[in-house]
Amino acid sequence: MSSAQAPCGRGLMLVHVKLVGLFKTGRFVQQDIICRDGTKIEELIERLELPLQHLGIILLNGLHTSSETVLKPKDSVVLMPFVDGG
Amino acid sequence: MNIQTTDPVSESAAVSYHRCIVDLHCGTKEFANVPCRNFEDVLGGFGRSFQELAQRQIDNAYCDENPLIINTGLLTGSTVMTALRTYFSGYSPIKGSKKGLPAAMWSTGSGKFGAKFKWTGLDELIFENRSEHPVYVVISESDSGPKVELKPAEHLLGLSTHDKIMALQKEYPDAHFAAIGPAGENWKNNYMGAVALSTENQLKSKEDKCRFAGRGGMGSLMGYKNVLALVAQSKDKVRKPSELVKAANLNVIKGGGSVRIQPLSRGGGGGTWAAYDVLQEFHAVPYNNFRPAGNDIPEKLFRENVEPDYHIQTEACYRCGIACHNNISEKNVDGNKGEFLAKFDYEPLNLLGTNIGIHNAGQAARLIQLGDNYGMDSISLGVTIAYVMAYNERHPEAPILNGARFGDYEKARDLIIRAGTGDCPDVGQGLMRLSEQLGETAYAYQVKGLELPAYQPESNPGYAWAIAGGHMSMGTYGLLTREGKSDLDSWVRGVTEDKLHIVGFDMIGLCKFFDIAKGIGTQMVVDCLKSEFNFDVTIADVRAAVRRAFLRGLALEMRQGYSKDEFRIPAETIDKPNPHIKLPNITSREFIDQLEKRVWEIFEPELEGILN
Repeated sequence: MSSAQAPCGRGLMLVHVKLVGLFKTGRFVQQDIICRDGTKIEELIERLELPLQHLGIILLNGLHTSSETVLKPKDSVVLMPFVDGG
Repeated sequence: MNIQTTDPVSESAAVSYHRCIVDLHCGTKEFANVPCRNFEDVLGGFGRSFQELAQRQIDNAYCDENPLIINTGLLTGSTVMTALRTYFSGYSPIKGSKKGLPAAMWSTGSGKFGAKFKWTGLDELIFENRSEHPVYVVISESDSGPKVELKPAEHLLGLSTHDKIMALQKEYPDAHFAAIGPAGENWKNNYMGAVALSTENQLKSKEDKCRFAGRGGMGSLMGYKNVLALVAQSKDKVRKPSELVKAANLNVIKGGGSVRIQPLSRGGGGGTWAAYDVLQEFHAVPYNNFRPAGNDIPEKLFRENVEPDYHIQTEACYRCGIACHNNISEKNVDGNKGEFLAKFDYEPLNLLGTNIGIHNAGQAARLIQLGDNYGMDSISLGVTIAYVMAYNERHPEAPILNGARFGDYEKARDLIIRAGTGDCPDVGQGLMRLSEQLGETAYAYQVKGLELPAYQPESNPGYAWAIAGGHMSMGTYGLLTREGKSDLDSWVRGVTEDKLHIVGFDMIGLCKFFDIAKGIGTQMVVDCLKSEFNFDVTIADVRAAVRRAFLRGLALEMRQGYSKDEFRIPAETIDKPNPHIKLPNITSREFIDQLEKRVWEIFEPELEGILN
C-alpha cells in the first residue's frame, strides 16, 4: 500500500477508493491509492484486509463489477457491505 | 404434528397436524388431527393457511366467514436457530383489489410466543365468527392434549400492546403472549393493526421489546373478532440439537446469510440498520415520500451519527445467535443506558424517520415506539403519513388533516395517536384508500393496497408480484442495488424463479436471516428436516412446494379481483424518474411493459387450476 504522494508511472497507477459502512471503521472513508499496473480489485481488497464475508457490492466508476476486474489508472472503486432485510 | 412417514412429499396424508377451530360466537371448540393435503400443508405457515383461505369466497374482511388462522411452521419451536415464527392469516382489511375485495394475507413475527404455542401440542388455531364481548384466549397443554379457553378481557381494553402483555404476565408468569393494541381494537377505522409477540427480553426487563406480525392488518382482523390477546402456556421443550442441526446453526451464525446481520462487536455488519450506509451511496434511501434529493441528509441517521448521543445495545431473540436487534435507549449523563426507546430496524427507522423528514434519532425512535405501542404496522403507518405530508407540500393552500409537513415531529406524532385511537380513518385505513379518495395516486407508494417498504421502487419493479407485501414476499429488492442486474432477462428470472423463494421461510417457521439469500431450498434445511423428523426430502421437493405456495398466493390475488394493471409500482417512479438515484433506470415504461409481458407469460399457465 502506498500513499497518494508516491510517484506514479513506471508500472504504478493511482486509483480512488471509497469504503462504505463497516469497511471504513479503522480504515478510511476515501483515499487515492497507488497500485501496480494490472492490479485486480480482489488484490486491493486483500491489501485493505476487508472481511470478505461482508463484501456485497463493488462499484467501478459507478457501475457494478466483480472482484476479478483489472483496475486502470484513475479508476474509482467503491467497496460496500451487503444490504439485506428490514 | 403426527408423523407416520419418512416421505412427506408422496405420503403427505401420513402427516397430520393438530388443529382447533374455535367458534367465537358460541364458544365451541373442535379439535382434530387433520391429515396433510400436500407437502405445503406439512411445512405449514401460509403454505397451509392459504389453502384454507382458498376454500372461502370472502367479499369483506370484516365478516364472520373470514377466519383468523394462527399457525406455526414445521420447524417452529425446534432446535434449529431462528425457529420462532408464528403466522397470522386471513383476508386482509387493508390489502385489497380495486374491485373492493380483500386479499388473502399472512403476517409473521418472532418472539417466543410461536415456540410456546407449538409446545402446547397445537399446530393451528382457527377463529371463526366473532365474539360479542372482548376475550383473550389461553392455549395450554394438559395430559389430555392442548386446551383452549376463552376468558373475558374487558380489563385489557385500551391498553397498549406492551401493557396488555405486562398485565397478562402477572396472571400467567410462565407463558408467552400475542396481543393487539388500541389500533386493532379500533378496527373500524384502523386497518393496519399489528399483532405484538412477547419476547424473553421483554418479559424479563419489562421494557416494550415486542416483536410484531405487522403487515396486512391481521391485528385489526383480530380486533374485529374481539380477541385482544392470546396466551400460550407450556413448559419449555428445548432438546439438545443433533449434530446436523448444530452444523446448520453454526453456519447460520458464522456463514450463510446472517453474518452481515450480526453485531459489529462480533465482526458482523450491525443489523439491518446498516442498509442506510449502502443505499445512501446510490442516493436511494427513501426521503420525503420516496423522493431522494441527492443530498447527505439521510446520513444523520447513520449509526455512527446516532451512537454519540444514544445508548445502543445489540440483543437477540430467544436462543438465536444472530443478535440482529439494535435497541436504542436514552443515554444518561454518566453515559449509561437510560430509558428504552425502540428497536432500530431499517424499515421503521427510515419510514418513521428520513422518509417523513425526521432526521433526529430520538424523535424517530419515539415515533417508532408510539406506533408499536398502539399496535400498528410501522410500514403502512409511516408510508401513509409520508403521503399526507407530500400532499400537503403540493397543496399548501388546502392541506389535509392536521396540515403535517415533512419534518414536523409533533404533527406526525399527532397523526399516529389519532390513527391508533381510531380517530383518523384517513391514515388508519391506509394509503390506497386515502390516495384514491383524494384523486392523487401517482405518488402513493403502495402496490395492491399494501404500502411499500423502505427500498425505492425504482430499484425494485418486482414489488408488483410480492404476494404479502413489499420485500419480504419477493426478494428482488437487492437485484439491482446488490447484484447490479439491470437487464430484462435477469429480472424475469428473478421474479419468476429465484427471488420468489423468500416466501419459503413463511412456511417452515424460520426467520429470513437463517439464509436470506438462498431461501429454504438448501441442503442445510434438508438436513434439518432429516434430523428433526427423519424426512427424506430433496432440495427440489422443498423448492417445488414453495413455488406452488407462492403461485397459490398469486392465484388468490387474481381471484379477489386484481387486474394486471394493479401489479405495478407507483406511476411517479415510471413517469418521473428520479434523477438523483445513482442506479440504472429499470422502471421506464418500456422496461416495465416488457417485464410484465414476460413474467405473466411464465406465471399465467401455472396459475390455471392451482386453487382446485
